[in-house]
Amino acid sequence: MAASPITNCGVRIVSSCDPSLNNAIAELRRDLGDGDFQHILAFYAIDHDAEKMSSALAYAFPDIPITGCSTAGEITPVGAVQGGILLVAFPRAGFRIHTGLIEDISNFGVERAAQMVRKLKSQIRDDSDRALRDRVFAMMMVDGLSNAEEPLIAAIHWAMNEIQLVGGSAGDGLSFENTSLIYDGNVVASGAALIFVECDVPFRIFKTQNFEPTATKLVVTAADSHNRIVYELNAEPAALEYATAIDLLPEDLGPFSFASYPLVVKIGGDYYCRSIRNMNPDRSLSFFCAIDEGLVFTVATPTDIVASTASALKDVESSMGKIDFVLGFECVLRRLDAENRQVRHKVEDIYQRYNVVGFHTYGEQYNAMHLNQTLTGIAFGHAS
Amino acid sequence: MHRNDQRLGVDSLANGDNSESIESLLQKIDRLSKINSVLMQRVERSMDQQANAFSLFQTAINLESEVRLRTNELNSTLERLEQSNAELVTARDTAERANRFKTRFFTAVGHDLLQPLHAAKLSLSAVAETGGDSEQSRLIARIDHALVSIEDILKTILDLSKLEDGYMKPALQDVALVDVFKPLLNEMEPIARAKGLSLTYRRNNFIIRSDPLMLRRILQNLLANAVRYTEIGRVFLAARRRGREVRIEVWDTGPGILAGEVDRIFEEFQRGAASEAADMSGFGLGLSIAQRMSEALGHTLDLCTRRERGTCFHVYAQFIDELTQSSRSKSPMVAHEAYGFQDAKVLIIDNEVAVLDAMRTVMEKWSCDCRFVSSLTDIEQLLAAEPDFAPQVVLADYHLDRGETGLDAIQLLRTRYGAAFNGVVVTADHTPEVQNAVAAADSQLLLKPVRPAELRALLQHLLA
Repeated sequence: MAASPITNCGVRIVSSCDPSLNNAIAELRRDLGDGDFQHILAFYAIDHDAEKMSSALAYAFPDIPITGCSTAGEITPVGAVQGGILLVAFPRAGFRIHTGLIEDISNFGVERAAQMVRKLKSQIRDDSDRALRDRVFAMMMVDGLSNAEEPLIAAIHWAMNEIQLVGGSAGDGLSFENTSLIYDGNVVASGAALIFVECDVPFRIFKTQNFEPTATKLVVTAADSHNRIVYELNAEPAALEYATAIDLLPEDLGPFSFASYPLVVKIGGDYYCRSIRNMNPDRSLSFFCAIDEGLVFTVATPTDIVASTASALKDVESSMGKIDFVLGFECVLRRLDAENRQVRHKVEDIYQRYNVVGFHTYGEQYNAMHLNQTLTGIAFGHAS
Repeated sequence: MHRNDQRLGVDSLANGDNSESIESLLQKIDRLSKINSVLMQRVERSMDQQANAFSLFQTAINLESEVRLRTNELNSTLERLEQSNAELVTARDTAERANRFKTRFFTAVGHDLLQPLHAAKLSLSAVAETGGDSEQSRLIARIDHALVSIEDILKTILDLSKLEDGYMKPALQDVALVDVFKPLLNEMEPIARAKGLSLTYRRNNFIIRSDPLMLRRILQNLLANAVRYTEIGRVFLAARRRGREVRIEVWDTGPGILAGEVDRIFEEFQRGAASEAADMSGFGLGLSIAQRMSEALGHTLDLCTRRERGTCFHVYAQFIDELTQSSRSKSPMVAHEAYGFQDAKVLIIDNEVAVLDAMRTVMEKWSCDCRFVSSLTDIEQLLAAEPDFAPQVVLADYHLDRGETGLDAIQLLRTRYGAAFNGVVVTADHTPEVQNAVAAADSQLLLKPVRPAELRALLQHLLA
């Protein structure tokens, strides 16, 4: 697969779909060339063994730190793929990247995350006239099956102050067994990688979503909030009540129906998606994000994903000038819903127009929030 | 509601009527649905305060909207600030431009007025020296008095312009107060006496740090005000040691200043309300200048006043030493009564015909052998025509025509006569640049308008 042209800011993006790890790495190595890179982000499918992948990448790029995670799909310069590898290589010029790893996030303390944030913040150069939030942003990659994103991101956010953050929860191609992170040559489970980027070119953090609520409400009457499992909705088995609400049979429920009929909650005047991950044999429903008893879900239907995505990126561009490229974190359910509605190619056209690359997630982080069924990202602009 | 539901149930059971029971059950379901939906809305509105993952999420969102709200508020505040800032900057620039214009205007007008004044005074002194009856002498004295007043006002305006410009740089030195007090008292005493006031000072031996000319001006203004606004009683000048400072005091027994006016009297063109009835001659600039000069010198100027009792202005200056009897080096100016200059050769250069004419009259009266020229070309012609005329004194106006200066003229003559003559540059230009240039050309500076007595004293000094 051909390499994308170098972005204007010097970031180089390459991808490979070769099923052989060795071939894929060789292809990536060749396409990336001999640039002076300071950091590589890697997004990979679970088709590749994480340990072998980590070693092969370390071997191919011996002097460049690599941070990466497994995905539910890769958004490459040539379109969305599954089973591939995407590398985003940041040059030394124009960027200064500081990374940290928070381990064992299921049993984490607020102080541990805040300490990491403070440590990374202390490495930021303070010799610039530009406000901190205009020259530094943070990215996060986190275990997508840890059920720990909300407390983690809350803790990180306390310490961030003005610095904005986006990120994605690692996926495992919808098998919901095991997601992984690569950090500093090691494979990490139940961890979160925090990446601070000092950026000379202008950038914007953004979020876009596409659904509208229906009149149908479902009340959580029994749940295990720690494991994000809802047992009952409206005092009925959760899957049964949900299927009834969307006019399907329980046995027909699957990722496509979860994508097409997301459940949303209303907070502070806005609706936020709380996506269903999968149906369990006992007809309970597992979620991608925190839930609670007494919660009122509203059944929603997606609106025009093509129009909303195009308009979001256009808004970014009108606020910043021409977009160089976008590092995006897109909920896997958005991809499924677009495929289901046969508009995926139109979304991809938009992505290619704005050079959107990234991966399909099990959840998106946006400043203090862990979200579902959104596209969050960083748009890089051109130096003024 | 609950009781009502129960009653509905009981009623329907008691009736035992099947069709009615179904109907009431349906009603019950409707009600339950309604209650349920109300409850749902209620739950939706409530804030969950439990510290679990979902409430963290909820808190995060609320924080997020709070942050957005505050950011927007901040942004609009910033915008407003920026806007009013820009407006302020524009207003300030406009004010500064107006101020600079005002200063330039005063300076230019001042200079332009000093020139004809200079000529008028010279002519008047020539008229005075022709003698004439007492009526004529009285008129001449009145005109002279008026001209002196105009001159004082003009100088005041020029001083003020220079202070505004930050032009006036004090030349700080050790000053014996008595050297300032004595001539000042001599000068002011006749005016006070004319008003029936007593003007006295207490002797002292203080040496302070100040600029003698500026200090003299400050005290002169304070004394002039005191004399002007006091109708009965006395004006008194004194100095007292106050630790490391000397406090110079100007007392009067005038009407005092209203408490509300104390701050305003230092502003230009302000005079105390108590003075309304008093003699209105002169501008209300005196105090303003005294204060600005005090600021420039690092002296503090304040006052205490009592209605109908009088006012005392204080000037605080740094104490340096006390004068001992032996260290006094007073060399009183010897008044030269000799009249003529025995055909002293004087070359006078001025581009103003009126000035040249006036000078001619005066100089002829003083028996000087004069030549009058108005440009460098004239000088060259004179040198060619009268190679034997070697001037003892060259009196050159600073600003000549076509950009030539009196210094150029002196320069030209120096090439011929070297240091054999005394150069005097006459100018209305009070700037330090001109003063320095004149000093550098080894010449004397005479400021316009020239008082004939002053000119004669200078000539005497130079020809001695």
